[in-house]
Amino acid sequence: MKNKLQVSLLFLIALVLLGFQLSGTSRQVAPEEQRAQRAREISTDLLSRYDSPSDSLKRKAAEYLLAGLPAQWHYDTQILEAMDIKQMVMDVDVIDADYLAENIEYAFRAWELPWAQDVSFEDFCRYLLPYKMGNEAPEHWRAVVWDEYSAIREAAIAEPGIRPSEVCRRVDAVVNTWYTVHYNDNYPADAGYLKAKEIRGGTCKEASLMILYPLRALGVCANFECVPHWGNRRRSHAWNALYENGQLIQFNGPELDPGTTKEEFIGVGRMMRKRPKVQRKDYLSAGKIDVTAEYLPTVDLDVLGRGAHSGIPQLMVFDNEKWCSVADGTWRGHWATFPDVARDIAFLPVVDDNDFTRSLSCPFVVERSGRLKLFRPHLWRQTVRLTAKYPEDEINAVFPGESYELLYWRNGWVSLGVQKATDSVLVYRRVPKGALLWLHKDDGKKRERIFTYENGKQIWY
Amino acid sequence: MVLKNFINCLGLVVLMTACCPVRVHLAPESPQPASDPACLTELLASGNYQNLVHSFKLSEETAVRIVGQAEGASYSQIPGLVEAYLNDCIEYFIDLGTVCRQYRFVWNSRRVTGNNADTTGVRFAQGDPSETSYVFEVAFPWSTLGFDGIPTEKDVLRMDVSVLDNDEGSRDSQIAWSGVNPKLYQEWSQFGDFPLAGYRIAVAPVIDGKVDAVWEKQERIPVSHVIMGSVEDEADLTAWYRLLWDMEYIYIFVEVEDNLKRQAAFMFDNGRLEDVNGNVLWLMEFNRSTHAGGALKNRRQEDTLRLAAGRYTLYVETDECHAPGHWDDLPPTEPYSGIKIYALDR
Repeated sequence: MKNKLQVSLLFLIALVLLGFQLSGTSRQVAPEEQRAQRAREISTDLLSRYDSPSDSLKRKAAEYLLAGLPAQWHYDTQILEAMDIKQMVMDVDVIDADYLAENIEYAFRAWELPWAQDVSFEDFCRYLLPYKMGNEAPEHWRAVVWDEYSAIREAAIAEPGIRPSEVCRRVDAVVNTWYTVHYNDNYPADAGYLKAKEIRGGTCKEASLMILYPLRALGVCANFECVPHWGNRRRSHAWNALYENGQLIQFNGPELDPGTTKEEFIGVGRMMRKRPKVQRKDYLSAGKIDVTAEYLPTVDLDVLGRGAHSGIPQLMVFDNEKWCSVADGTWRGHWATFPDVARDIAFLPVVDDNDFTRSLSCPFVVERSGRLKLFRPHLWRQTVRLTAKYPEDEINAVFPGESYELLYWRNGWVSLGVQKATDSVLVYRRVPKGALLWLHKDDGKKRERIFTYENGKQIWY
Repeated sequence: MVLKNFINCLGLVVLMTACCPVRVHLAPESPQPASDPACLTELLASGNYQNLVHSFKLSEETAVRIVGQAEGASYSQIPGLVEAYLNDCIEYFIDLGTVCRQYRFVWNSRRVTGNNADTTGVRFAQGDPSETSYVFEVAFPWSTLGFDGIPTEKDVLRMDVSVLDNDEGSRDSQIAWSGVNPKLYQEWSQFGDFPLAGYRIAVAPVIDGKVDAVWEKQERIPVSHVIMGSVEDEADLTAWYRLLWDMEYIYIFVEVEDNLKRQAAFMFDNGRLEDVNGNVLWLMEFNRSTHAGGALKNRRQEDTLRLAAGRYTLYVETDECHAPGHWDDLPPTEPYSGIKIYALDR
């Protein structure tokens, strides 16, 4: 009797657990269906507000927002701030047709401002219409920002012929009174305008995102631009740009106004920062578009697959210690193609196939003139005399008593041996001519750059 | 036989493709701007990122007017284009627990920069006691620095004082009181402890950039760690600081010995004229240029030269922005970047 009871109890527990599991499974599936259903409801509700022929443009704008809506996401800010956990939430779960309709109304008000009169509908949709700038949590920011910057707006309306860049300068001046651009204290996710008002500071990336809110609310077609990785040093960078008379003008909102900023210049005597790729945040297009050709002289590259024609072809740049991807290519037959690639930067093309990365060719650079230069180690050898592991300062010169390792690239870094320097010059013999070199010092500091050795000099990349 | 030929051909194809695994497709270049018929010769940029070279020959000695236009800036004119830390300047860092603030005061500038540099209520004055020295006297409100409470003699500040030196157009060296490497601005752990005991004053100093009686009594603390570049000797760069406080402010007085007091200034686009032996006969330099109209960064340099008969080469280089077709601010009155040479004798 007791055994029977135990078996029944176990059976009951199993049923309950199975029930939980089934309900759990149904919960996993249901949100997708619910989300699709919710998106349809938002779409129907929103579009029904623009049935009138006089609202045809607003209807098109609504369709634009709806087209990008399924891909929009953010991190739950409450969970993020309370527990430092990044939990992804789809925007469609938290916004409704009222939210989008309010956004459309204010965007159209911005488009009607005098300095935005030349903005095409396509540019309006891309730059003035989106309700968010990155992956920040949707906020009811439109009315707040519209009111907050009313003094600038009204004053600018009273000045016929005022340029968008001038409006931008005035917005920068106001934002500069409460926002500080710095290198630390990052908010761990993209912040909307209202959140930025709480944080009152951020990095170049956070500042460049934040400044778009007041600018776009005031009809300025401003963008968030970034390099995913510098082409000749560590780290990434973000800045802004706006269009004026069809010309792209860089700025670093709110710190540096249009026409007063350089993104690549970092002082005389130091290596310019180079941009291998420039990306622009975009509401559609999976969140970003490649705008490198708007900034730099570029080339289109085809790289032979060497047997590979699947997997993701990628272009890598050197990060002072490893290669990092900056662009994905596509396959055209046996060739991997990479459009709009910057010149004068050392690239390594690779293919990433089933978590296995292999190089498609030796590293190369397309010089400013357009000439291709492959860093292919020759059979011929040379003696090299090296004075530095990094070009910018004396700290990274060769110091007597310190140990260094010279490496060259042949389908991977190949050591040419470790030497203890006895002088401020390191001499290595039988180094393959034409090879890409890297002088490494095992001291944990990563100020090291790749170079070639030509005509008795280190040429840095 | 056929198979052998096929294998040979295949090998040849494989060899050729292996030799040239990368194909490059160039986009069309921007067209050159129309030439000026009044010029003897010229070299003008048509866009950003250009490296242009043009050779010409003079059959007889010729007096010429050479006119260059390019983009350039100094810190005092366009601070954004020339980073503050590239100038002669002092820095004060303080970490009061809630936030770390960095303040940078550039010689001969009223602009204050730095990470988290809240300037609410901050008062400062610069003095130049001699041709080879300068001082900054600053009063920071405790509240602005983020001090939460009432300062007492028992408190210890986490802080640093740093001085940057520019002798040849850019940053050459940096010294600090406590810091040990140039990452001081990021690594707050490099800051030193400054116990407030004994530094409280009843009468505040006048913020005028002068050593008044209240400062005279205080010891000078050397700022002596070289954290970037090299310092040649004491005349090149030496610095001390003094600190005082009352219930409202921290007062800092920094004295700097610097035999070359400079603000940074750069040409972003470059132009030069060379003779056949590569000697530079003429060069665009910010300090020899004037405003070319339009945006302040439009620079124009005019000189008269007498050139002997022979071959010469012009070089023009443009950077990432503000060249014809890509003006990012008002263009110069004569909207070109480059060099024009006019013959004076003809």
